[in-house]
Amino acid sequence: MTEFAQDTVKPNADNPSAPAVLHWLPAAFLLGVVAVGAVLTVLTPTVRQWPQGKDVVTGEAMLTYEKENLDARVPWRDASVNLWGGLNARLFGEARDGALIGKEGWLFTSEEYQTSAEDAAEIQGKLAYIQEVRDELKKDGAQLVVALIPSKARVYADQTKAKVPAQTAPLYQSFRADLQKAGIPAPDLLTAFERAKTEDLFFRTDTHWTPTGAQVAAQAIAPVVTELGLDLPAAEYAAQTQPEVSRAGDLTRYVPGDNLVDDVSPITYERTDEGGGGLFGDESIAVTLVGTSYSAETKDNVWHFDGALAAALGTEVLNMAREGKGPIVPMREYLTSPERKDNPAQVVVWEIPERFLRVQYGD
Amino acid sequence: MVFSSNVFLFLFLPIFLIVYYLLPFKGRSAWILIGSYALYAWWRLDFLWLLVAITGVAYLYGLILEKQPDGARRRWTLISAIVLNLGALAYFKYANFGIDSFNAVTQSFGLQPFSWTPILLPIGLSFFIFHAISYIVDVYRREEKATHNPLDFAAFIALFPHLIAGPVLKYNLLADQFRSRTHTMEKFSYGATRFMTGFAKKVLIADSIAPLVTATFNQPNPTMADAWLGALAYTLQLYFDFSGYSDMAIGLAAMMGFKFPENFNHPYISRSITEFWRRWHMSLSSWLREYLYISLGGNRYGRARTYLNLWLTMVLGGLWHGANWTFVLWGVWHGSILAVERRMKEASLWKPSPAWLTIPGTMILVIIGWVMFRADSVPDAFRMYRGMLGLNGVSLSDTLAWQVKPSVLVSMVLGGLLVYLAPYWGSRVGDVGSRLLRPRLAVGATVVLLPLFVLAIMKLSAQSYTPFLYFQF
Repeated sequence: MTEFAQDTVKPNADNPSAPAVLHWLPAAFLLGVVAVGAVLTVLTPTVRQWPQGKDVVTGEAMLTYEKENLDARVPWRDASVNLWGGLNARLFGEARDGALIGKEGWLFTSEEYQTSAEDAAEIQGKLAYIQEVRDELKKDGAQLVVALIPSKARVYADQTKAKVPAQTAPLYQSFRADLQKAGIPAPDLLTAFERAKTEDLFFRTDTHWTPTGAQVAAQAIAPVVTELGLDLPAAEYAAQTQPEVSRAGDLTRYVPGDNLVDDVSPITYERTDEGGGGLFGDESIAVTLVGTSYSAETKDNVWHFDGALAAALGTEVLNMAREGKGPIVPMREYLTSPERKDNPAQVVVWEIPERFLRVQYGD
Repeated sequence: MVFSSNVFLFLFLPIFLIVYYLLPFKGRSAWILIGSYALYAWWRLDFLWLLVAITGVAYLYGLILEKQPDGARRRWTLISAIVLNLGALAYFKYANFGIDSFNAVTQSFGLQPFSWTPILLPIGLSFFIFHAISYIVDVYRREEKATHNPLDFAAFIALFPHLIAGPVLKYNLLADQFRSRTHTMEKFSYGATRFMTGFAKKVLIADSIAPLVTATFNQPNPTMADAWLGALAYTLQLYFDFSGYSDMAIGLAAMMGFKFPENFNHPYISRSITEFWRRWHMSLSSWLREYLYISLGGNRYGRARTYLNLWLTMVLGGLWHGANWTFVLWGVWHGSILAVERRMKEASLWKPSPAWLTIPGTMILVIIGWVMFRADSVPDAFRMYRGMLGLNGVSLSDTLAWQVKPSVLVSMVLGGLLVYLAPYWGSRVGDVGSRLLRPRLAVGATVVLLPLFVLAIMKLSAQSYTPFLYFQF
């Protein structure tokens, strides 16, 4: 007998011996589903639009059409996401790729669990870049303070179901120690958070910190800035707690259909003294904040870290943070910005979430 | 364009079927050709010329070989045809690999690497070149008359159900069907059942397991639990991905009235690697036997040569799967085991053993092979093997643990049950396509399949793009 298969064509492939219902039902069902799907698809406006400026010869136009005009817009996409997301959440306690479900309604971004063999090299690269930034800022006479935000999964490890990889266990303290060794002040936000964690410092349904978390961080940063012995222009702030609102965090999109929310009372900060020249006024701003969505002024930002920092430092803060770009890109942008040229800072507080230390940003 | 995509299901397929069934039989080959070329061009329009060129060359060679009398000249004609086809395959598929390997050697001697712009591999190239070669060799062997119908021939080569990832078909299997075939509701329904079954296999099982496979093969130092979990996951993913694709191909062909050969016959219940190759990717095995093993001399030149031929067939079969040393070593692994099994059988050392011993034993050999098949490089594969041997620890690592989702484990368990219960089911009920022994059970299974198909469509829309594993070949 041969070692390899022989071609075989089954003689009764069309199954004439099968029950009558099998002679028509699968065909009718498949045709029905395809027909309904085709009609719904064709009725979708984007499906009738061909992407402009994309090359047909190399398949670029077809790929764009398929992924952006069709797959992302089929009318049953949201229902499908909700159905499978809901099934996985209810049956298996799972979020979609990108998040993990913890205990008691806590959600965590999977970025805080990710590891790779290249992490150590990338983290060392980040350290080197931070030192470059420190040297660059020195040219203006500005000092750098790094506000390293510990990961939510680290602070609330007791609320996670999955174990945070051992590879990342010493990361926060070892990176902070490396910064200090390099002469870059870096307040111990992890210890500050551990002490204050009886209150929610991070939203349960969001990647970001709560107004309280932002306040705790600002208060831990302030003494470190004070120790620099700078003469910062004084400013007074009043914190005002706003009425409580329900807020669905950014991680809820990974758990469709569960309607998880956080109740939060946003804190806003208003300057109460007579100063406040601002960037284009007479008064210069001595502290610049650079960072990520934990600091950026966006519509979803209810934590107002820049306000908390200004209040804790007792001086105005120029906010140069950007959402969705990580910590490196906003710093690159700041270093070449007119704001740096027109309003050289005495202190630059660079907010860097721990989870971004391993992320590669390219050149 | 893959079969498990919205664009195929809801734009290509309805348009194709409506026009196909509106046309008289005479016009259907032309429509198949247009549809198949459109499906291919959806990937890249500029590589369509290669498909057309391979088809044209094979067609012309068929005509030439048919007219030539047997003799040296005819043999040289065949050789030139094969060289031309394999030359195209070598250029597009192996040039990068050859240059990279050459550069690795020269750089190890401190020499400058050869500068080279990487070549893009046209999808399906290996498959349509194998189709063309099988036709040319069949005509040369006078087992098949050369076709004088370029339209039917081009439609055979390009026939979209098997164009991109097989099954690898011989022209003589479909030649008569291009001349005459029946279209019935029963046949269409059979095709629909196979298509929906394959779709559900691919989307509900293979795609569900895929993230775990990626996570495990990305582990820098996998533990024993990591490595075996990953290897098992890939064993299931590959089976449900590729057999799912084959089911869809067979189903789509049946919707057009064609009968394709089976490509899988419960391969994971094999009791030897020899049996495995009679059950796994049967159309490729058949092609390798017919055009490589027999051409190398098969078992006609003594024992030692037979073992060598078996070994070479598998090594070249491995290399056909991809231009990477991993595929070569995978072929070496299977070829060596085939030769050993053959030797044991001839020396009467092969004793009948119980299934509980031989099936898991064969599976372990298969799984070890799949690790090499899946790994991105030979060092990556050996990283997994070190893990499988427990050299990096035994228990599940915490870098992987958070990625082991219960839903994936459930998919694996369901997949494993299907793999081992399906043969039993087939023997009780009758495999789809064979005579049904328990019609009520078959009706019940079909009724279960229909909502699963809708669920699979919704899962497809909820997840990101997942091409078939065999598209890379």
